[in-house]
Amino acid sequence: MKFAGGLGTVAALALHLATVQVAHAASPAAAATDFSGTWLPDARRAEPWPSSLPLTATTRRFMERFDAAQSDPTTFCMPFGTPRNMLQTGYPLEIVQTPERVVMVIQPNLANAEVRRIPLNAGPLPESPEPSWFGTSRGHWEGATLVIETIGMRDDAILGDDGLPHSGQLRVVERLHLERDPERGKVLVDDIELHDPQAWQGTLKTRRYFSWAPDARPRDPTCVDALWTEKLWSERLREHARQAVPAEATP
Amino acid sequence: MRWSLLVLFTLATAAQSGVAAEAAKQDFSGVWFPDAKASGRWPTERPFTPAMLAARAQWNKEHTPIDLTRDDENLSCIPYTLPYVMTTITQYPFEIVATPQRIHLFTEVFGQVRRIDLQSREHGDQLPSRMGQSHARWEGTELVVETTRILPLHAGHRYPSSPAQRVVERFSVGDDARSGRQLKVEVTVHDPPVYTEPVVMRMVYTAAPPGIEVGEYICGQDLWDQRRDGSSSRIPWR
Repeated sequence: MKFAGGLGTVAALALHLATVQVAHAASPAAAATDFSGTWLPDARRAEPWPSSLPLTATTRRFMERFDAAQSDPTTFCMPFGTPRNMLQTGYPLEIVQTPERVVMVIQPNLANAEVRRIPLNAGPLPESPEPSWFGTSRGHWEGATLVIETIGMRDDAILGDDGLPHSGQLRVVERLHLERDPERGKVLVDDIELHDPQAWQGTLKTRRYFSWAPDARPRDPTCVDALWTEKLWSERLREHARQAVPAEATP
Repeated sequence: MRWSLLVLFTLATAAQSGVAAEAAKQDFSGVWFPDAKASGRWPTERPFTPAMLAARAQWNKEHTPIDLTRDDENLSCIPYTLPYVMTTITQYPFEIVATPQRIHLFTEVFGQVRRIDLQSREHGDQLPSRMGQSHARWEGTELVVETTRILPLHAGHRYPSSPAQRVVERFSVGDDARSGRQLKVEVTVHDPPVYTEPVVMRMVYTAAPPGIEVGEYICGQDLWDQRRDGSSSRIPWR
């Protein structure tokens, strides 16, 4: 549509806006819950995993040898990935919601903001999406509950600081709803189910609570700044060391 | 009767102005690619203040030679800072998601997030950041975004800036015969300690074809992949 200007365009746009508003009011999305805003994970209410998880032998072996300094992606400023970004309790969760999609932003102190894009009512998930840190998601409403299914996560991400791994077969199902807490006010509840037959038997379930925090603002990450400084300094030091040693003394 | 007419007239005018105000608000939502041909550039000769010229000369004296294969911060995964995040021309798109309260701009490169508040004018006690603190107002069909509290960049940087930097952007959308739907952003950099006069650039972005989404961009991914592939113990499934 060309912008012709004048009253006709204004009237057309006004009519369009009115139509959109009516359409939204009549659509199921209008009855959906509004999760928009910033939320802080409630570490005190984070449900721990059961003491004995039904892990496969491969998973147990990996966890026994797990060394975070070598094998935790976040040590190298890589992302948490999904669903670790929903299980973590240190950084705020920001939700942007439109009738067509939900975008979740988790901005940890790593290289990049973690952006989960969740199209709503967009049909089935693709068969085998390209593996990624945040996976491929679809969402739909079941009454006031937002149900999100995510697949296609990279198989070198982990679920927590203990090194619990997951394979590329991981399927995550989340159910988000709002609760009213007399002490905490508005609370976002995320019931998370993890299915991964390569990593454990059955379904791992946990619940995460997020408190409404409209004033919480993400901070700039410094993870890469630190790595860069370290890299720069180590190279500078090597260079100084080379210059300090006479050429004939170098083996 | 006269009062009734006056009330009716007032209500009608208010309703009309409300409709006009709503209609004036353009929708910037969507995925946008920088248009290299139509976009402006930073001026070749930037109007640096004498103090900044001296500071840059001193910085260069202390730090040269610069090896850009090693000393370039973006190559080393340090992300962009405003206004460079808007004025750099890459093959990467960004996505705008607009709600009545806030506009979010998600860049593919470095996976950065800009937040532009449409309602709140509160600045609060916030630390400077790469994206700064942005507030917007409508002027007709243009969205005027003003950003302050941008992390200053040192005198030797390609785009040095001071804590006083203020960036004003004027966003508008329209159609173009050549490239279809266009987003235009006029970027004006006010930074008196750095520039003797405002620096203005007119950027143009074209709408991505349907189905194009902003991808996952993880800087340093190649380093992690090399590390991971070097040891099978890091992936239990292979």
